[in-house]
Amino acid sequence: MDFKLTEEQELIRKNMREFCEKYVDPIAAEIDEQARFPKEVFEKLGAGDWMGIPVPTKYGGAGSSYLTHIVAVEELSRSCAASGFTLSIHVGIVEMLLLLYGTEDQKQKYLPPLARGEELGAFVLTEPGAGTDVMAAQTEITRDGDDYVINGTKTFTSNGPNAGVYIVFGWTDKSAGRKGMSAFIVPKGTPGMRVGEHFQKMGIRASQTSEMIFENCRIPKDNLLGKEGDGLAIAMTGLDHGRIGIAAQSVGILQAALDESIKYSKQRIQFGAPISRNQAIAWMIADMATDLAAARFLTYHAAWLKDEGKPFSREASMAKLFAAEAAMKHTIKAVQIQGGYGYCKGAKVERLMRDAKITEIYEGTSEAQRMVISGSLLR
Amino acid sequence: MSGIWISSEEVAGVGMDIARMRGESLVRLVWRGEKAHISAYLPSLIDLVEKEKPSAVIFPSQVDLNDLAAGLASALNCPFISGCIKVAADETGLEAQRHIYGGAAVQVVRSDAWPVVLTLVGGERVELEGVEIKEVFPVSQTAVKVLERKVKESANRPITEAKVVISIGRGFKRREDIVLVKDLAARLSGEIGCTRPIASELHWLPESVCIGLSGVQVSPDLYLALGISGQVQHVVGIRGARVIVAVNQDEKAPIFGVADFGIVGDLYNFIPLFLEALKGTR
Amino acid sequence: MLHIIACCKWVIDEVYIKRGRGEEIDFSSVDWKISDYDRHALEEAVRIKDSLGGKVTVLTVGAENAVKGMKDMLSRGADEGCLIKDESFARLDPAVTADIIAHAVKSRLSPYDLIFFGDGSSDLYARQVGPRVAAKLGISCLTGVRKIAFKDGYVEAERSLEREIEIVQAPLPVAITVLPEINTPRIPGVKDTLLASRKPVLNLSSCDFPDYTVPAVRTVAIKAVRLDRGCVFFENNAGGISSLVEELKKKGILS
Repeated sequence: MDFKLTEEQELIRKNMREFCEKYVDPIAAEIDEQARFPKEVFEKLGAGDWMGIPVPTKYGGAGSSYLTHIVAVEELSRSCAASGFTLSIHVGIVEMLLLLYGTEDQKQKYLPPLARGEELGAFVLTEPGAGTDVMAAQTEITRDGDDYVINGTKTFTSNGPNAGVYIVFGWTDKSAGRKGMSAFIVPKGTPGMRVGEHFQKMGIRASQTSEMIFENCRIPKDNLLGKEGDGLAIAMTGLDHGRIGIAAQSVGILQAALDESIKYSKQRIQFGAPISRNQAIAWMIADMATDLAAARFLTYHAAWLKDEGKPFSREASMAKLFAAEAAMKHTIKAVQIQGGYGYCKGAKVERLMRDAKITEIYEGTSEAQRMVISGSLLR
Repeated sequence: MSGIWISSEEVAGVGMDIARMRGESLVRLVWRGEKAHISAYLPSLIDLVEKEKPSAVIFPSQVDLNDLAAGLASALNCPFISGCIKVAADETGLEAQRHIYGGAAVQVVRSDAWPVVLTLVGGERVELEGVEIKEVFPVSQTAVKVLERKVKESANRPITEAKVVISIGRGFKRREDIVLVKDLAARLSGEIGCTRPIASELHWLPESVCIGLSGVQVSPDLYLALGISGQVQHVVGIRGARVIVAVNQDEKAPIFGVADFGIVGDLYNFIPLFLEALKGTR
Repeated sequence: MLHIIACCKWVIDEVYIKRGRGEEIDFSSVDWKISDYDRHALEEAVRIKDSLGGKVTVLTVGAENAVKGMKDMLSRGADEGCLIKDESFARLDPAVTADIIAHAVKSRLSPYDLIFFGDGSSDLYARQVGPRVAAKLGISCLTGVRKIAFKDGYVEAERSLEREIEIVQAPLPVAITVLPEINTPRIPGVKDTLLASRKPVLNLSSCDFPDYTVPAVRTVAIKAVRLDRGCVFFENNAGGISSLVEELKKKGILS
């Protein structure tokens, strides 16, 4: 057993912390309030090779491990959970899917600008009637000569308004059931694809979410990712990877909640003493720190399995389930500790609590994670 | 071996204490000649010290004099304790205190060998009369040539001597807002100081009023910290203040941990209200 | 082709220092960092190399954990490292550190053109090592430098003194101690960190150096500073502030 990050990973974490203190912390409250995507932050992240950590250097990445990327997502989320999520989707889903399923040509064409942060990736799966039930999707993709034509409406697309490379899922052969879905790479500006309604969210407001509308969107067959009929498997693989990222995002939120709670409770004086001396408060902090440690180990373990080339789908779901629920539970406590101050805009814990909620919902709800976990055990 | 040499009256207090303890006389150095780069003085100082063998040579902790002290200690291969905040001589040697870890701790060091070279932070100035004098002359040739000297923009009177210091930090949004503090300083007959970022990054105020470990250390009767978060490196410079009042938006700002009185709130609201409240006072 | 040496110290990050019982310091959960001013020294060395060409060697003296420090230093643009480590080098007196650095520079890193130091270390802030190394090497030392330019083989530097700015010119080789305002150090990118361990490092230990006499200055205690004055809070309104003024009167500050 080895519970250590490498010295390089520790330094990378420290550098991300410093990056956040300099460029993210000063704007985190403001971009949340304004629901603004911090383009300037992602340009800087791209310049520092943070946008393609596990991508091999020959495709413009840093050539490190998935675990290193996970550490970066955690640390970024500690300052801004919305930005941590943007990074997670971009690397954990879009780049990983291109790496795993892309042809050499596709990798050479799409990965370098993504890894350098010049383009942002989006994962276009969810539809108004198809959330957890992916098979209920309506989007149809029909072959027409050397092209495919996409028609349908996607919803809740993270990075939708800001992305340059979209991975879009739809039916190429509905009659084939689980083997009837396919995935396509659609670059921004492709005629027939447009950004629909922007959603106003409770949390992770600095990550923009929109509808994506496809009306006779024509793409060459070279943009097919994997083979025809691989779509569902590709989507599930993407989510398996992405879930470790959401787990890391939740760990970052938890760490921030713990930092805030310790700092506040030692300074807030009531009845002539810091409130940290009250057992009621002290125990909340003990539970928070314990769940944080557990969540972090589950998350790193899932990423480690991925890097070792071992199956990790169940462990990714466990990490995401546990970390997300812990983040929600303890950010509520963090607000409780700060009382009226914590309930007001401007308190970091207020943002953390709103941000935490989504971790139990996207990339598979907590219920969906329990389905995955129990399914793998009761098969 | 004899004599406690001081480079100026700024460090006479400690010099006199050590001289008294050891039964030696105090000697004041006088720096002659045109001002050259500080290295010009080192050869003659070394010669003088090697010839006369003082027990201690004491300098204020200043950029140039620290160079001289280090050069002297290196040449003599003798102990050098830099940045002392307190020095006490005893039968065998001396014990000094100095700040470490950005002011979070005090290091107590001993030296039982003589001679010793010291630099002092915030030493006690004593006007001396009838004390023996030694002259130090610069050599004419040095590798380093001074091309130009510019006097830094500085406060009218040294902030270290002010009874009231009003100090500003990052909580100020605009340079123009310093006017508000000027009113307050005029009302309290105080001087305006600041934190490191205000002087070095924003250049809103001269370096001479930058307070902290790497700036000046002040000990006024009243220190009013406006919009200062209270990094340890700043706080170390105000430890000698009799009363510290802090105003900051963030109730968790560390400045409150070192203040006597605190106000959590907007300094832009505080200043006019405080000026109003001062009307009945002298 | 300039050979620039940047000296960096791997120190305890003072942010993590806590007060234990009484005056004791609790070092149990400290993290380490490159001394703040030294980061500016390394950054300046790398910037000069980038504009004038040459090579930067980053040098550190420390105990076993300085290995990690060396990686951090190499990730910030240096080409090579010189890692001088020994368990006995954990808490060196500045005089001994200077002797070690001067010996390493003379015997292993010559020829050189510039040696950069931070103005003082984040832990001891003794401000001795730069000028002492220069004295040992018999070269000039420019301290308190906030700006550097090169002209006709000379260095021109702006020194920030207490009351004046002194612009000086010095021939190479020269030692320079820098102030933080000289530059803004980079935050290393991921690749910079990953590639750091592939850069060449000259490893030296105590057996590569002559015995240095035990320094006559010894630390007898390190005490945590107690700063807490038990802050009393007032409201930020007319009532609160007049109470504050009353308190200041009681203390004899206003009358």
